[in-house]
Amino acid sequence: MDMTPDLEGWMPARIHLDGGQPRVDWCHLGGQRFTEPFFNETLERRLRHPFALLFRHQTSMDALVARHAAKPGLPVRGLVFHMSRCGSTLVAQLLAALPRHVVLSEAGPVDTVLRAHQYVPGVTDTQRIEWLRAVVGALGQQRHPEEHAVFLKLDAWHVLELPLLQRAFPGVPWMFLYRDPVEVMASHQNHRGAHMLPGLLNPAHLGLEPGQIAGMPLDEYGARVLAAICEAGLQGYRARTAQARLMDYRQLQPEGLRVLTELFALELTDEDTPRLRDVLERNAKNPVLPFEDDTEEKARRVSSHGRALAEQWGRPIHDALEAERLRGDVVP
Amino acid sequence: MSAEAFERFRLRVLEDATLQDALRETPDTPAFVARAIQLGAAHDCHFSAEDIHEALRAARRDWRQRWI
Repeated sequence: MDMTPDLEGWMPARIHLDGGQPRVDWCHLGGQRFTEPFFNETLERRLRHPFALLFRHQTSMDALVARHAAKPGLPVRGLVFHMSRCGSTLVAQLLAALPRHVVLSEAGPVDTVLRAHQYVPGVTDTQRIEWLRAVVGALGQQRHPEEHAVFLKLDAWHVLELPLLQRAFPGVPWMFLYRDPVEVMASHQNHRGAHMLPGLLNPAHLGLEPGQIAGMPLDEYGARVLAAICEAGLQGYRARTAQARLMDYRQLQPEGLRVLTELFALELTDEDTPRLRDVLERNAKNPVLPFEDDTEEKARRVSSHGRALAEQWGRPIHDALEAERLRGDVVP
Repeated sequence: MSAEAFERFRLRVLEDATLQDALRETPDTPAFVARAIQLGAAHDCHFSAEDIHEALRAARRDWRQRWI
């Protein structure tokens, strides 16, 4: 029997397995907004205070769901999908620059519930949707009077779950960001993302049998992952049930703000302009550094083998995304 | 047995919003430790600064290990 504590002001920081069942670790975040480039960075900053580290509640998932029923949190107003290394952190930082937004950027608990069926037998899509809404609702509680909307910037592989996410948040507009596959490959060759290593993703999501992955070179696996992610973005866009936009990295600096404003109905004020300009002028993942376009540097750095794989697996789907984008955005 | 006393205090704090506020408002670790020792003693839970530091090390280890 779970004695549910008073969770006012507490956030589900992490979901872990205990005896094969998911348990929720709650952390008191105080008034700290999610303004770092990634959710985990905000959390780690908070955990530097001994109170946050020593005093954490633990509850069942049922308690999390019950909390959602009692306190559903702010409404979700936008979803940001991406292929990784393509400017999605800049989009999250632009959204987070406005104090009326709660931006959950690659939040660990969101990923855990989306992958719950992979490690807890018998978890259904209906259950994942319920858990997902409950996690986002708990993280998206209003903690400052000006906050009124939640945005989810998802992990790159979550676009493979786009139909489920659209069911969880029906009618919520979304975007899918992508970039020249050679440049993305170059970035991953420098520092490989978790999804570029076998083990995180279900091989079936990639159109592969488990046996095919064993012995596959890492660069080929990564190139196939990126292609599968882009394919899911394209197919999701074609089958969209809400407003959606495709956006190439090259569009971001000149047009990103306009697209975001239109798609997510941002209603910018005079005070917002300097906040947004400040974000655009900085490196999104390391805001103490100024922004520098690294397109040419990335294209130069990639190995010839990586380039060939990116061209083989990534170029056709990148071209298809660009063609679809250029056909124009039609509201369904 | 002061590690056990700190654990008793920790469980008590989790049920008491006033104690939580008092500990959360400390600006840094030394101030937190001093406040925790003082509040612990007031609730008949006697522990040392080293007990708190050991609990912090264990909490950090536990946090890092609990990834899915």
